[in-house]
Amino acid sequence: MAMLIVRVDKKDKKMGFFNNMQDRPIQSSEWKTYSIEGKIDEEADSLFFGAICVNNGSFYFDDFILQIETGSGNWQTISLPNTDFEKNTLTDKLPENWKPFYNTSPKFGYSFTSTNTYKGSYSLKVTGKEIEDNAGMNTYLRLQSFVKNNYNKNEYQITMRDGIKIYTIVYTPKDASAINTYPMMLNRTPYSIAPYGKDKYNGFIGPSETMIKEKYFCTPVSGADI
Amino acid sequence: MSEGIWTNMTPHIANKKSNRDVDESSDTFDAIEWLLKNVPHHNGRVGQSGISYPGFYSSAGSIDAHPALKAVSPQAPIADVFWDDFHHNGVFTQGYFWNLPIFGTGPNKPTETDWYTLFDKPTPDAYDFYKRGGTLKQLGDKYYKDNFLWKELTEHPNYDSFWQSRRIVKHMRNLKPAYLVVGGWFDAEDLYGVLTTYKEIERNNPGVYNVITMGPFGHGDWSQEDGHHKHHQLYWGDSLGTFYQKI
Repeated sequence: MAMLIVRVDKKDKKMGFFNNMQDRPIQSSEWKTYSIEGKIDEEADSLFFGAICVNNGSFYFDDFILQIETGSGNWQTISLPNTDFEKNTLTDKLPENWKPFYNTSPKFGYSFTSTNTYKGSYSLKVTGKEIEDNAGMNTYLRLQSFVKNNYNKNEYQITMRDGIKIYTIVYTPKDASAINTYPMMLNRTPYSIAPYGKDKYNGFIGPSETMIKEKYFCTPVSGADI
Repeated sequence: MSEGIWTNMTPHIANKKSNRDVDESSDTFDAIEWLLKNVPHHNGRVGQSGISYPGFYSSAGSIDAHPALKAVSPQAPIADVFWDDFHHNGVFTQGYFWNLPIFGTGPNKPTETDWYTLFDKPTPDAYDFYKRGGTLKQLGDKYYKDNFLWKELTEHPNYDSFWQSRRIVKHMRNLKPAYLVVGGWFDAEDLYGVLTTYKEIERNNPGVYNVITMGPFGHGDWSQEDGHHKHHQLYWGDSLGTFYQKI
């Protein structure tokens, strides 16, 4: 599994636009074009883009393109060195002009291939091996797809007695009906309850896989106010 | 995404006089009331669980509970933040110094992104950082002049009324729901919260269904399967999270 990632850091060191395809990780073994579109924050200082590889296996990348919309519908391609991986040499074990986003794990190796490319003579091949600690990620993906198939998601702003509105997500079992009712579980938190948006599903919507599979109304409630 | 002002361990108001007197108990009550009225096809029974701060919200929300709230599971909950979490047995937990922006700044308006900025560590080596940083006061002056949690921690070095009012377990009386308290023996945030929560419910609520389960886990680690369960070099077994969730 892999994801593309785009992150904007602002001058005040806070994070601006961020998308890591958490809600739509790449699991296909076919060549496909994936894109992330977003608004660059006004106070943007730097923009990162790249890819995350998860688990063992071979990951192939080719032809990263950065485009900026200069006017309505006008996309200008920003020329960047070696985003097509045609320079088939490694510098400090990484492809030239690319940097590790955080730390690179020694369990991932980088090489170039000319036998499986999308465009041009070479593509980048990332190989993950001897990774044993990814059970958590696998569980997350399995649950995320279960949740998508079995729950509907709704978002609400619930007004408290003092007028303050509390943001609440409700995951409703798809087969809930007047004769097939379910109990409701709250999880009230001061932290984020992302992903936000009606079509974006979390994997861990409840305290355990058993409970998520038995189904009930999963109700994360954000914001602990007074 | 929510409105309101974040307060660390919102004090419980035992005698509410108006709609301005709100706390986690009233917010939980109001949320349950609204959900039962507006979300169709529930069976009228509500549970609440959460780990860490959400464990505290589970405890707090179960006081003067909505009658539909039947089962509550505080997991690795904070019980009294002077004795656990940011303090350990009354002493400031220096290891959390870096995390103070999360709890001591905003968000003062709804946000979809992180409201806090952690400062750039001059060195990844915590020992070296504290050695070079001087006294805690010097560190606080340097990094946290505007951090309200740092202000609270330093203005109240003793167990005064500020902290006493945040001891949620003293309000856990006349409880109605059933309780499953959950914790891990390797929780650095730490054991006081989970053990005190269980003990106080048990002592002050005779007849209430109250059980505790503890396993070889760090903070909340039972909730997400890690496959090969280890603590540092100690290996405990495979798929323990899944096993633990089932029991």
